[in-house]
Amino acid sequence: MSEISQTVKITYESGLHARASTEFVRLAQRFEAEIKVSRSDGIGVDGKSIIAVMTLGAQLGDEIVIETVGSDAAEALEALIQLVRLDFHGV
Amino acid sequence: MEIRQGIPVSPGIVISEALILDFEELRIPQRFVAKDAIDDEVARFEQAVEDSNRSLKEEIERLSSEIEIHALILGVHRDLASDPMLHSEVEKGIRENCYTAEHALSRVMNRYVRKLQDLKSPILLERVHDLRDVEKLLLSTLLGKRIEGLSDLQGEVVVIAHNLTPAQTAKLDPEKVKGFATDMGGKTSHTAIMGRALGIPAVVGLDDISTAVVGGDRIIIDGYRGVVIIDPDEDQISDYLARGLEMEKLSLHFRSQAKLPAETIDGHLLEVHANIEIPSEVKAAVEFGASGIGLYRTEFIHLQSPTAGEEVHLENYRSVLESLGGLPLTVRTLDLGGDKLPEGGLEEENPFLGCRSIRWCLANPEPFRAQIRAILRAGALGPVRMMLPMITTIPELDRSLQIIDELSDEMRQSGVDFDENVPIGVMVEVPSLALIASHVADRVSFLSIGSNDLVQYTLAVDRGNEHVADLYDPMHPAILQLIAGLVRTGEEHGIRVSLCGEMASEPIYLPLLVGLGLREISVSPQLIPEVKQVIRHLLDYDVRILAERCLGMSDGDSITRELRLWAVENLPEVALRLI
Repeated sequence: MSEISQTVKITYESGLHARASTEFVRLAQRFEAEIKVSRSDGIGVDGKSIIAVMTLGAQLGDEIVIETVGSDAAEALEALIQLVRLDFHGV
Repeated sequence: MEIRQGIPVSPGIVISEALILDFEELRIPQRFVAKDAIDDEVARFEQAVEDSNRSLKEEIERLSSEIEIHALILGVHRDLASDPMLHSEVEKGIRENCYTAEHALSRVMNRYVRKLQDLKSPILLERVHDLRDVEKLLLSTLLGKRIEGLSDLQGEVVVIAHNLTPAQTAKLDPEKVKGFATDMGGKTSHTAIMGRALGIPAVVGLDDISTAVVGGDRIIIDGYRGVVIIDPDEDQISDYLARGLEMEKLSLHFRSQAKLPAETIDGHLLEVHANIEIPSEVKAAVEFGASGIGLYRTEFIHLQSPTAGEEVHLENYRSVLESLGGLPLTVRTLDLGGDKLPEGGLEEENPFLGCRSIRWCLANPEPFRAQIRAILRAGALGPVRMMLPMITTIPELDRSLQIIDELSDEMRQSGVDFDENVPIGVMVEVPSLALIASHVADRVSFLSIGSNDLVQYTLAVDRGNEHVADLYDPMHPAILQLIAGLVRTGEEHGIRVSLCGEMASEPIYLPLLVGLGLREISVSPQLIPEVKQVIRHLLDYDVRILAERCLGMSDGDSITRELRLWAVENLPEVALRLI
């Protein structure tokens, strides 16, 4: 199974922090697929780990890459990209 | 027997056994395990995670909607406790280094905490507390020690602690916990909020009460006067039992008349508003006869969730307005400072003279703008006023008003539903502003005297500092002059002047404040019935003469003596509290 990935810019004013990372991880955990998140300049971290996603320190304006691999990789990727684009539903 | 003086933050009297919350880091007895015990050690960790998650789940389910904020926090704790990276790293520590589960966990947690701190984001610093809470929970599960049997206490207790956190109070059984006493904290601490929300006496700022008391000691907490007695003698116990009963009878009597207007004998009507921190306090405020919310402290919204945006603020305001059923709501914009921001958020030598309150807001415009938009939008839902805290200069005020104007324009253009006529006022908390009040009054719709800070900044006294706390005197003649001047300015400019602070809830000070011409005050919800009762016993003509007399005096002690004497003679019904 091959991995797919997409880059998305954080437009949420507080960045991928506290509440936003909770939303992100809770959504990621609903999929079977393995999910990796990275900042454009760094190595990927586990997208299902709230601690990993928090400590990524992605801020407003940063670009992050989401990579998914697994049976529901496409659905997972689309849902997570949407979440970031929708500013985590304004948590 | 030992008597301690602290800061009273929630009224009432209780005599009960002490329960000490252990705040020390849990001691880890053993750091390494034998190689052949590694699998067992990993299994032990997995079991601890499972157990902790189960107890978190049970607590979340048990929490009523009244403390839903806690349920949210505990939900995050669950996410953290079941984090897959945490698991794999702890397991790695056990397998590769023969660490005990406890030691591996502590090392991993310390690493995460450092990482979060390195990111230098105030938003993430709050998460450090959550990580530490989860670490403690897992450690105590591993060590076979119940973290605190707070939810299944056998008898009634008073809780003694260094400082209570939301994660801890969420565990308390409100049926069994009858009082709080803590080393740390102020009027707006979490302990104070919870004490008032649960309606139990609380005293904070007791320095080292948590080490002075041994679990099981008998304790008296006097939440009216801020006194805590450790191991009282028989006389004190019977005195306090009698006093407690009397006070209860009295407060029931006050409560039965709480809905009557706060009108002096000669027909001067006052508005008595409530100070609140969380929306769930509004119900009590209305029940106790508040004519509105005079001070909604919104820091709690920010501290609970530093990313809280416009929508979260608006939700809170909407909920308050709904419970108020048409009564006015005054929202104070974020009043954060070095002392209130999460650990390490701002490190300042002297936070009270530092980047706090409106200064912090102007330096961090995003949360400020989000809040202003939410307040203006809330204006479309009910009668809302906006209050800017700790303004010290006119340019600061002008800058804030300009931001509000800009946001109004923006919202008008984008067609958002809001009220462009939300009255804007300032809190007068610093003498510099009180002295140029007429320039302020030209620009705003109301002034609100924040007496706690005004006293502290005028007298250069930190009332939390035991060495100088006795210099903290709201009756210092300088304070009375400032208040009198502000009331005069308000009358000249035709704008309202109110006072919110503890000063207004002291029955002996009230006649003076009314005599100085104040017509609106704001106090803790529980104190409203008594405050209104006192006002109904005043004759405006009398108290004006009393105020004139006090304004002529040169020291606070003489003024307090004068007021006490006056109250004993003229207010027999409340004189009990003065003895």
